[in-house]
Order: sequence, then C-alpha cells, then structure tokens
Amino acid sequence: MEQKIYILVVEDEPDVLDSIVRDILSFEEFFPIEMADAAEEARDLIQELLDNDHQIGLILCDHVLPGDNGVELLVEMQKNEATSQTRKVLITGQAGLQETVRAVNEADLKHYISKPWQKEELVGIVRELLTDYVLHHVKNPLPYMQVLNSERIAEFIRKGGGPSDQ
Amino acid sequence: MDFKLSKKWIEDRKHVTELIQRLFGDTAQSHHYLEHYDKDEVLLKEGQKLKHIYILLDGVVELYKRKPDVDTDYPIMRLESGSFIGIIAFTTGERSLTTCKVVEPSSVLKIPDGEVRRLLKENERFKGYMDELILANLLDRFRNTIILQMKLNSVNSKLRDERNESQRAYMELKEAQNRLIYQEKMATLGQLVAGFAHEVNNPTASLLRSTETLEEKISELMDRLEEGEGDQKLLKSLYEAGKKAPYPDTSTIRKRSKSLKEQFEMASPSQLRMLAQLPDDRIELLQKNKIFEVNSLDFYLHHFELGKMFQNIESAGTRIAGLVKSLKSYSRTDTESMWEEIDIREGIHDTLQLTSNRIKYYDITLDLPKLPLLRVNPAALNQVWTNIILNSADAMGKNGSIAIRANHDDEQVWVTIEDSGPGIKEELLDKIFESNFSTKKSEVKFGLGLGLSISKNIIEQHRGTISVNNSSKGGAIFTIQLPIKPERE
Repeated sequence: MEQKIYILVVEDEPDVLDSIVRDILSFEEFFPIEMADAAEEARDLIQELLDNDHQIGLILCDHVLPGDNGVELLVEMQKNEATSQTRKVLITGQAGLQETVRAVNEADLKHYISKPWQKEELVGIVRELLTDYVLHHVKNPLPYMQVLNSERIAEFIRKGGGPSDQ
Repeated sequence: MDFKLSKKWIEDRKHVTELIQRLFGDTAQSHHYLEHYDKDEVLLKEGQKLKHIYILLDGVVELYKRKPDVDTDYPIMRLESGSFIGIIAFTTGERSLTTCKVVEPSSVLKIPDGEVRRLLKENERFKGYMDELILANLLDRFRNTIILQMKLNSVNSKLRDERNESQRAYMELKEAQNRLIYQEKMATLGQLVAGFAHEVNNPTASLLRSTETLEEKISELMDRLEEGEGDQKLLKSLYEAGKKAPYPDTSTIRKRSKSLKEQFEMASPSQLRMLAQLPDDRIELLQKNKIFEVNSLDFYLHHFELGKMFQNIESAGTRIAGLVKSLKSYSRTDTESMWEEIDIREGIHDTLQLTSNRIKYYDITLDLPKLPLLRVNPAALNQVWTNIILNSADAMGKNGSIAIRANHDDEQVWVTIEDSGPGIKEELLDKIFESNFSTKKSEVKFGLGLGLSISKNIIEQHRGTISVNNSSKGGAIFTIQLPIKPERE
C-alpha cells in the first residue's frame, strides 16, 4: 500500500466534525482525512495508520472530548516519536488558558482556532502547516504544489533543499 | 489647726511614724496596741463593723474592693507607714468600705475605737496631732484619687479611640467580605459564561458552516436540476433522508465506508464517508439505480447533504435557543423580585444545561419527582447547585457520575447531590462549609474556594440546612433541606 500523509480530525460533535472535514476536503486528494470522535478512538486510528506505514501530517483536535481531552491527546502524540512531528492544531470553543499554555509548551501546538471559524482561515492554516510538514519530511514536494503553498515549495526546490529531520 | 504635719507627711513618713509612736508612747499604752502581721494576713474585711482604728507604723498594706458582678477583689490603694486604716468607718461610723490585706510584714497599732475617742476628748495635744494626721491622711488619699481620675480619663479616651478603631476595622472587614462574596459570585458566573460560550460556539459553528455550504451547493444543484438531471424521486428521497438521518459515530462510519468501497469502487473517500451515513434503504436505491459514477454520485449525495445541512441548522438553532433560555432563567434577569414561588427543579435543569461543558461526559442520574412550589431566591439557589456540581466536577476529573435526587414530605423538600468522586476526608466533613476552607488550596479551578460557605449562607437564608457526608461507595453526598413554609423569608 502506498505510504500517505494523513490529516486527522478529532471532534465529538458530529455536525461540527462534518463541517471541519467539509471545509478541508480540497486537501484530500493528497492528504486523506480520517475522523475520530474521542481521544481513545483517535489513538487506535493513529496506531493503525502508523502500522500501515502512513504518516500523520496534521491533527485538528477539539478540546472537550469524552474521556481524555484534546490537550492530553496532543501531549501524548508529542511524546511519541512517530507523531511528534505531526503539526498540531487545537480547534475549540473554549479551552482554559492553562490548558492552552500546556498545549503550546508540551505539545508544540502550532495553532489555536476558535469556534466558530472562517473557512478561509481554517484552509489557510491547514495549507501552511501541511506545507511545513511536506518540506521537512518529503523527498519530492513537487506533486503537492497544487494544494499547498506553491511559492514556498518552489523557493525550497530552487534552493536545492531536501527533507530534513527537523 | 496649723497643718504642721501635712507637708512632712508626704515627704517623710518615717518622721511621722515616730511622732505617732511617741504620741502613744506618751500615753503609755502603745505596747498594748502594737500588733505584727505577716504577708497576706487580713486586717479587716469589707462590710465588717469596725471596733478599732489601725495605724500602720511599719510595712505595706493594700486595700481591696469587691466587684460584685465578677466576685473578685480588686486592689484600689496601697498604704505605707503612717497611714490610718479604717479612718472613714471611724469618722462616719459606717461599716468598712474595703478589705485590708498585708503586702509586706507590718507593725500596726490597733487601738479600740472607744480608746481613741477617750484620748481625743481628754488629751488636747493628742487631739491636735490626730486631727492633723487624719486630715493629712485624707489629703493623701484625695491626691491619689485625683491622680487616679486623671489616669481613668486617659484610659477612657484611649478606649474610645480603640473602640472607634475596631469599629472602623470591622466595617472594612465587612466590606472586604462582601467584596469576596461578590467576587466569588462573579467567578462562578464567569465559569458558567465560559461554559456557555463553549456550548454555544459548537452549534454556532455548525450553523455558520452549514449555511455557507448550502449557499455553495444550492446554485450548482439548481443548475443541474434545471437540466433535468437525475431521478427526481430518488433525489427527493435522499434529501428527506438527510433531514433526519442520525449521525453514526466515527468508527461506524469508517467500518461502513470500508465495506461500501467494494460496492462503490469509483467513489472518493469523502463520498464513501457520506454514503456511510446513508440509511440502508437509500444505499439499496442507489445500487438499484446503478449510481456508481463519481459525478452522478456527487449529485445524489449533495441532496443528502442538503437535507443534513437543514437538520444541522435546525438542531443548532434549537440548542442555542435552549442555552440562551437557560442562561436567562438561571440568572433571573427578567424578574423584578428576588423571591419567587418556583419549582426548584427548573433551576437544577438550567444549571445542568449551563455546566454541560464540564459534565458532558459524566453519567448523570436525575430522580426529580414533582415537588411543591417553594418561595425562594432562584438566582441564589442556582448558585448553590452550581457550586456543588462544579465542586464535584473538580473532584472527579474526567470521568464520573452525578446523581441528583429530590423528595418531600408535608414540611420540607430535600435534594441530594451525590458524586462518584473520592469523597471528603472524615476529619474535614465539619470544616468544608467554613469560609477559610478549601481543599483546592492554590489550584482553585474556579472562584476563591468560598463556594460552599456561600452556599451554606444562602441555604440558611432560606431557613434550610445543608450537610455533607460520604456515601457507602465513597463519593460525597450533599443534602439540602428546604422548608416548604419558612417562618420568614
């Protein structure tokens, strides 16, 4: 099976989950989207994807979830070598400052999106973070140019860059 | 009387003592009357009828006056050598005003009353000295009285200052306490508003995203409909399905889309996800109509999605309306009077609704049978429910259960709120309602840790009681009892 870079969306409200996924559908051609409605489910899913040699490039995660909350999930992913490089976004109606600080400090949170969001905002953030991920982890980023930030990718290629570990 | 002695009296007691001794020596009777007393011996008692006059030749004695209300003797004056004791009783004939106790071993002339009177009558010289001595004695005491009076004045004014000071301090304290109670109330409200914001943001996001999607899709759909594409009946049936299709959970969607992949080989991942949400009968209809090709599948699925958008908008609107209603009825902003006759269960429901971001994943059990209406301050009672529920949430963390039960008899209503947390340590059960008590210490998650003491206050204003103990399963149970007809508000 071909190795792919996945986007994972974790949100417990089905209609909200649906809206997030719908807004980022344009990326799915290159980055398959998977959904989970609880941290526990997300964990199983991540393991399954990793077992099949896929990568998780980006996670969009709600804060209030059944069982473990979103921040706990993100911190856990940060500790796991296989998902520490996953770009992490908290997308939530309200996370306490303390929780958010923890996500920034311990999960290398890349972005915080508050509900309700604008589609352009969400798409823009997803595009930049996936571009980041691709530039760092993909040998040939050229094919992704059409859905990602093409200028950054072109610049990268011109400078003769290749994937780095960081 | 030429007052030869008065000045000396004050300056040179020894001299005077010698004079007295000589005086009695002259009358050759002093040795009869001379007595020695040890420390703590009592010369005479307050209220005693005096038969003698005492003249202190050497040593120190102290006069005590009894304070009847506290039944204790208070020292009022110290007398040194040369002093007359029992002088007032001697001159007025009244009973002794004081008790006289020896402070340092003393020599005293204890002369019978009659003897003194006889000497006074018979011996002109003795009388002269005695007059002066008595006067000097009284003068000395008068002087002491003036000094005491001045001291009393200054103590009084100091006391007044201190009383004013403590009154001011009390006012400040009271003000600070009011401020704390207010802050706690605001903190609880802040917590609720944050929860409200979270709860309202989900349906708002859903509402906004759905209308935007509708806008995008609808004109495209209209165009295709105009061209007469597709089976109208099937399209309509998918739209209807979308309006009421329940949302399967994500793992069900994943499993279904995997199995549907075999039947709809051409479908994109997002189409498969959508198909996975379709009821079985609609899937069968699609298969029967051989709708497998991506573009055509898209058209049909868009109709399903259209229905779903309307479902989302409707449920989001209903949720927002419900939350706003709870907030409004929780805070009672629409009523004039603080006290109202209400069904207290409404407040409990409002509170649960507004704290739902904290208790969403708890197992909530409600056993709230119909209760008699109570005349209460609804906003204050809501604060009590909120404090207890949020306390439980703090104690339990992510998982747990809360059971709220109510019951009543002819006189009272009681509500119990039980959680499945770790409970409260036995030794703390009595303290938990005290204002300076908080188990949360530095990590207070909301408010100032005054919640339970304020709750107790509120319940007491309702003439009710609040108590806490641990259930057999280990969690905490708060019991609130409210009288149906309180004696007064």
